Amino acid sequence: MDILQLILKSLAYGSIYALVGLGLVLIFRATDVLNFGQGQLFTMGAYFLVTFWYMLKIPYVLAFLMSVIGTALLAFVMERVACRRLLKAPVMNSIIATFMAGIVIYYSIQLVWGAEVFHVSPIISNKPISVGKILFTPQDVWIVAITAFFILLVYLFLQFTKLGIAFRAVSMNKQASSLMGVSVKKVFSLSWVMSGILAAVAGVLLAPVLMIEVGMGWVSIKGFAAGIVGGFSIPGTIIGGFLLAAVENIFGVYVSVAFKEMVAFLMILAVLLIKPSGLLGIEVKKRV
Amino acid sequence: MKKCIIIGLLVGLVFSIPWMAIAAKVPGVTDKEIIIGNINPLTGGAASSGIGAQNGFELAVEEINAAGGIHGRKIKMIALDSECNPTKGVAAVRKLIGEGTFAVTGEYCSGVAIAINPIFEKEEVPMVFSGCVTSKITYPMLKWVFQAMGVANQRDISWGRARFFVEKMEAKKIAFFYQANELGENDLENTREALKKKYNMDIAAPLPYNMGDADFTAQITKAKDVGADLIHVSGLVREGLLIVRQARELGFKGKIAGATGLSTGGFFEAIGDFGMGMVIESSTPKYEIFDFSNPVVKYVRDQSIKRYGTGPGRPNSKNLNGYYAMKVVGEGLRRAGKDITRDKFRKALETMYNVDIGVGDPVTFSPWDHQAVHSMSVYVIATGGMPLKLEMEHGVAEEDLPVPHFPKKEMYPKGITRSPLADLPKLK
Repeated sequence: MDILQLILKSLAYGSIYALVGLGLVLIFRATDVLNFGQGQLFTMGAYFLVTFWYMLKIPYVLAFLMSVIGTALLAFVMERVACRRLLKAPVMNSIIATFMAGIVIYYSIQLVWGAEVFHVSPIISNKPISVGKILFTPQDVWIVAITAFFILLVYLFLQFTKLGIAFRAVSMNKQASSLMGVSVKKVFSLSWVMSGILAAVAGVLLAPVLMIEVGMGWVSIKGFAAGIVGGFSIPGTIIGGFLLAAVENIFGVYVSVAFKEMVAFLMILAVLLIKPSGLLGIEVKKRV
Repeated sequence: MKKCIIIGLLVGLVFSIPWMAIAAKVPGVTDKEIIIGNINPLTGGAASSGIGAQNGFELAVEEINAAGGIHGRKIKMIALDSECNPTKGVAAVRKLIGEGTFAVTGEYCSGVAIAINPIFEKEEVPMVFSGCVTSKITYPMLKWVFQAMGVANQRDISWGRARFFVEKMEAKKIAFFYQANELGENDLENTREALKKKYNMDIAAPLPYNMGDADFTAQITKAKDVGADLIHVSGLVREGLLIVRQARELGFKGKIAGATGLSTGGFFEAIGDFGMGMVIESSTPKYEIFDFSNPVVKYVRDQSIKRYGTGPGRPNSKNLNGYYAMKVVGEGLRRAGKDITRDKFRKALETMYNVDIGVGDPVTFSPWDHQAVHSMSVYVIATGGMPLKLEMEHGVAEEDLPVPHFPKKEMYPKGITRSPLADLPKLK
């Protein structure tokens, strides 16, 4: 199988890594907090879909929207409960709080939905289509297309809306933004809600691909790797996500399948050693 | 006078000490009940199978108790969760033994089974495994450990599998997916050994993966690159489902076979048409959970739904595993007699030669072999994920067993003996 096929096949997972990574980066850029509960938000997106679409038989589009809204609300609550009260505390306290909140969500999922594994059928066909020697499935195309749509929405929001501009201002300089009349707390909440939306979209898209179980939050590690590789910049994280998925598969085929999962960690190490600011991150120089 | 009374009391006390020791209770046994521990993965990725197995045990216990128990003693089951985690499994077993259970049963996950196995030998507590395929719990044989899953263990399965792949499926190049842990590597090595010794062949592409992996593009690419005409998938339902689906999505056109871990309703429900033509090894007693023409299978399924409800992929074939194993335990308790001890129970199990317990293949234990059954069957998935039983069954040939199964056949009664537990009144 040639490299082109490998890369094309990686696009779907790359999209998921990019979405999850983007959610992490949005919160980090606004609040300096790394959300260790991001994997659980992703998982909640999938469980909401199971509940609304699979169990309650709500039509798919409505179930999709409800899953996204539900996860966004949960993210908002997480910010209010775990982080808002720790604004004046060291950042590490907030990071630990997100980790703990993630664990609470993990066990809550078990309590509510049980420990068993769910399966939902794909809404789009996953029967392969061949174009020449290249194979792909309509489901892969669907995942990439929806990801692209939401990334575009995020871009348009940040570029052309008042709140989006406020977000960009806060991520550059919180103090100055506050002095200019921007509600920094509102931007914090906004970043969590947006992150929740992106995590939910990723969870809903991946739900028919994987089996839905409480431990599916592993994807946050890949999102984190995408963020580090991309320098925690928005475009860099998106590129990082796709790059990670492609390198994983190429490594798996040409080096070792046994250590394919190690690629994410190798890439993090490589970036930290060679270019700590990441692919498209900005180096910050401080005057001393 | 007073001196005589005191001396008399002291002598009486000294002579009563051995009697007190004799009258000391056997752990987990009273006049009214006998406590059996049960361990299974009730949470985590294997929960569907673990809960199914536990429900099967509970059903058999209810049935036995409703008929008056064994020698007037009702069975009380204490169930703990291993989470399919060896460390937690060890802690759970220690707790069960520490709380005084008479014997322990269960466990679906082979990794846990390997970790807890030595404890039973050390503590001299009988263990009857019901659901894990690893051959490491019975080869080499341990005095206190029995495997009553109703189907062959991993080593036997591997040899039977090699025979099936080469003689029935005519495979020339086999790609072998396995979990990158001790169990998976064991499975790979057993299959490789069988292929080498019987057919002078090797696995064309050994393809390890980790539990929790989601993208198998690299492994499937390797399988295609070596020209594999058969992909075999060992492991649990989640990864098996993804591998089979992704193999077909990536255009793999050859045959696909699955190991016992995939033979649950959860897999069949989810795989749909992607599984068409796939061959899966059975991990249950002879009659599948889907064979409703068999009244016992139908009974186990219906009663499981009535008593314990349904869940994703439940009830499943593991309900039958648990039910089967508990009936084996019950028969062993019956044979051990009223003055039961752990050693008597162990020896009683070893007298079970070709005993029909009402479902599945007859059980044979002996002082040389604690593996109840050495045969297995396969079935093929038809359209829409429905499994169909193949006419042909396979298993390890007797000459390929590592221990003589019946070294002293002349010592045992001829034919099949039916256990009274096979004919207990069915629950309503």
